[in-house]
Amino acid sequence: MVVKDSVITDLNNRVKHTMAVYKWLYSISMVLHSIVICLLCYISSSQLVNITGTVLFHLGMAWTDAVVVASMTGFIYLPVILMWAFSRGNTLLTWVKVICFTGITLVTAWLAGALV
Amino acid sequence: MKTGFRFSMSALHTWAGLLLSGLLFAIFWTGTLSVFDKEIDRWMMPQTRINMDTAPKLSVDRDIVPLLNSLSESATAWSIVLPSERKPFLGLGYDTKESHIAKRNSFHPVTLDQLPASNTRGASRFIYPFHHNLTLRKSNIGAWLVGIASIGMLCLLVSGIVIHRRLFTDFFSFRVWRSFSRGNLDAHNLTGVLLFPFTLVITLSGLMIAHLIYFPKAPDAVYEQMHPQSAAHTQKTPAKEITSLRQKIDNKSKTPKAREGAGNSPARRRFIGESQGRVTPKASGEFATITSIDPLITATEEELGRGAVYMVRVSNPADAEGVIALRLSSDKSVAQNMDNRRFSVATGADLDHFESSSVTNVFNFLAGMHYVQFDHWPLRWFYFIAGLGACVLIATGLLHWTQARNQKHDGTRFSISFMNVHNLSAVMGIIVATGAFLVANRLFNNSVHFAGVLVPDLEVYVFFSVWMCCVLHGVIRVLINKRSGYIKAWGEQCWAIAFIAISAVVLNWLTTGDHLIKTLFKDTYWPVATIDLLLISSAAIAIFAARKLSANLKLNIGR
Repeated sequence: MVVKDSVITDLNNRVKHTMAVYKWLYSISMVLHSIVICLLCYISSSQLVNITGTVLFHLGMAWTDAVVVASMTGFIYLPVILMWAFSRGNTLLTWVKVICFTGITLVTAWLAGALV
Repeated sequence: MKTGFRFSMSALHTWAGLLLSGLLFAIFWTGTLSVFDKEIDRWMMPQTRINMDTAPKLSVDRDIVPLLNSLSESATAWSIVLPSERKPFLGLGYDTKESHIAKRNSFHPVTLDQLPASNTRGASRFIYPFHHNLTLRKSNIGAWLVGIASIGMLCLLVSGIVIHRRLFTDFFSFRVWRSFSRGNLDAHNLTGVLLFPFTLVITLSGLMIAHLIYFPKAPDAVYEQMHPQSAAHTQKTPAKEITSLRQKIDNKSKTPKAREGAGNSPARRRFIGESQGRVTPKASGEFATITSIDPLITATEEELGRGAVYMVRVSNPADAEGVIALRLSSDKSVAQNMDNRRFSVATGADLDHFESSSVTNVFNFLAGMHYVQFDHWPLRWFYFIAGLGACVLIATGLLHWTQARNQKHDGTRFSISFMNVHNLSAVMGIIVATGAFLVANRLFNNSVHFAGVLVPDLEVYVFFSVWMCCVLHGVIRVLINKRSGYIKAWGEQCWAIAFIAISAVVLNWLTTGDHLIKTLFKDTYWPVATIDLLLISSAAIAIFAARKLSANLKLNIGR
């Protein structure tokens, strides 16, 4: 009976230890995931700012005005993209979506000659 | 496992709130105090407590130009900031033969005597910079942290609305006397909904005015698009120069930025010059006597209204190509006025006047709305109260998370104990530290040094040391008693606030003779009276909160 109890306690401790390690690993990976997603969102929004400025300039706006308007809209783009990125629970899907979106903005900026 | 948009937004709201609320509280608290930065300056710099009601209007030609000539004969630029109600002294800036870095001194508006140096940073050089860069200027780290927190605030505001199921019902529910957790959540919901437009606009405008820090490549990206013809049209720059400028952009784009908003990129320098009219003219080397400035100010004020000119800037005052620029005040409008009037130093003839474009005026409106430099006291008080409301919103949000878990787990978990200390330090710590900053200012009483340390630096050290002491106090209290130690710590820090606030008022009286009866009735001086009254009010609120917390603690122990 005593032996059985000690085996159960040992098993219980091992499970607790594994759970604690798993919890820490999960927390660290979630923090890293959030940081990288935020960085990607920032990159895509700054590219969108550059593209907006370029488009407005080519539409005839004075270059300083185009910079002002594009920069101001950047602060709308960024929270919207962040909220869109964090609106799904599925981590893999979030990565795919955000990487694709950032890639698209980078390519568009390059095509528009606004990749600086 | 729950999924869906509302659940995701709830997780975002919780995590962004837990991670950023401490920083956000510090930003909103210092921002709220910055609404009255000039008044706090008057309180902290007694030598600048000058009543402008009886001061006669200064003549730039008769009073100021001879003074500037005597201070620096070879200055390449003068700046004259005329006295105003909130800044009741004459500010003169000039460079000297020895240094091109402008010296800035303050002068009495009546006697024109130089005012003794204020050995303090005051609110305008500590509390206000803390609000926008946390006083971490190197590589704009502070500004970036503030930017991250502000973007987080935008996400918090929008996600808060998404997760709020009963928006309309909760708007009319403020059950403050029911239980602390109920009242706390109601206060969070109420301030969140009621102040939503204010918090959204103030956060967004705060980000937008620093767009050159957060989107530093935007001017370069658009500048790259310009063909030589269009560039020449914009600023009459030869094509060759544009090519060399582009090369400079490429070369310098990797250099660290020394100043906020003004990086090393020529595109950015041109952007600032063109969008804000900040152009420095070149000297011809031909001597000229400066023309009379008073008629220029009078003519401008006749056109735009009395007090329209707040600053005169003279570039190359003894040169035939020198320029007198009259900067226009923003007192009468919400929008920040970037327009200026330019005249020739030699002849006083009209040069091209800078007027912001319509688009830049939208930006100026947002900037003006954030900087609150307009002359409208009721609106200024609204900003202050709304700012305090935003602080309540953030603090109640933090407390909501810990309150529920404290009841469930008795604060025994590390994460909950950590957040208990975090909340205490983030909310109470900075308030106690601000009070200590004011007390230190009156204790050092404008001395230059104390114990071999410059007093302006020492005041800042006091601020951060007291804040750290509050953190330590919270840690010790929570370590002694995880269950209710944090309540005791909150109560004790409330008493500390009350004591510090009353001490500040008494010290102000003892060191300057400006007690409340004098500043309110005998020799009315509202800036000092307002700060004293605010300190007394905060002491009263802190005592009330401390007594409530004490009663709560007794209940908690008896449970």
